[in-house]
Amino acid sequence: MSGDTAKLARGIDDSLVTLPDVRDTYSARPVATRVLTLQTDGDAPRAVVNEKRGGLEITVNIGVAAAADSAQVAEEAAAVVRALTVAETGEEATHVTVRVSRLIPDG
Amino acid sequence: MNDENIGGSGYSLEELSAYLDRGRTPRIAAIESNAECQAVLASMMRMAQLSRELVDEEAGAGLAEHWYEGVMRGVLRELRAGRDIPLRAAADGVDLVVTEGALRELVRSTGDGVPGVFVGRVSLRQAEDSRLHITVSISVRFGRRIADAVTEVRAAVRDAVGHHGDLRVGEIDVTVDDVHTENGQR
Repeated sequence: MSGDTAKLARGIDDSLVTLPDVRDTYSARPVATRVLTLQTDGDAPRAVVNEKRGGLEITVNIGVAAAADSAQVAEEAAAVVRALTVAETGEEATHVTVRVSRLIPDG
Repeated sequence: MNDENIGGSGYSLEELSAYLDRGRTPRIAAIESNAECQAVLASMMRMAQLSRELVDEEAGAGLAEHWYEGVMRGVLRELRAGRDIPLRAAADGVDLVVTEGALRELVRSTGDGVPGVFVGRVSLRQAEDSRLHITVSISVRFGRRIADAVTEVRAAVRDAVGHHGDLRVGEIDVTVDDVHTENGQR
């Protein structure tokens, strides 16, 4: 990721955890590349922002409270990602994937 | 996911266990940012809690080591992220999905929450009509009425999975393949 996209990714990480039923975020990188990324940058952003021809493709992995409707929470997360992308870059994201990676019981 | 590289973190089951034992300090970003590692740590903590409860209530010896290891090997197999399952149709340019691993973890934690029950294995199968068929094997604490435990697990799992977006639950098969005693022995 370039400096701008890394900044956007960190902003997305920070914003998602402020949503009421988002309990955490996780690395959205493919499994095969996680170790390499973490060796070179231990605190790499968890959201992945890829610059593709035609725009930005963004993937986030989140953990959601098990008692919530994770589809609703994921929808809210997607809206946050889209809004932040416009605010930071002036462009719409061309594709946003919100992946619920954990459903976490309270307590 | 294999034992030596959980979720691509570069850390093994033993290293995660040691990390938990030392209070998750110093913080390791590769573990804290990894969903599979977090799911394994959560399972370890639930098992530690169960072991403490057994010791407190029955003056037993906690969970037998081979029993713990057997369940943790199962957890490792199940908590791989696996396929993405659509949660709900969304606007163009947006995908909302849940991983198979997240659903298996939900089933496991839900079953473990039923009194006197500990989950052994969880498997999911999505049928052509997109319904999720769930198979759970459980251990029931000696003295607990088995039929009640099975009914409670089935109801709890159906409720836990069924309220997420468009997910629809089909059959839930609950198999009792073990009975544990007050000290966790089979």
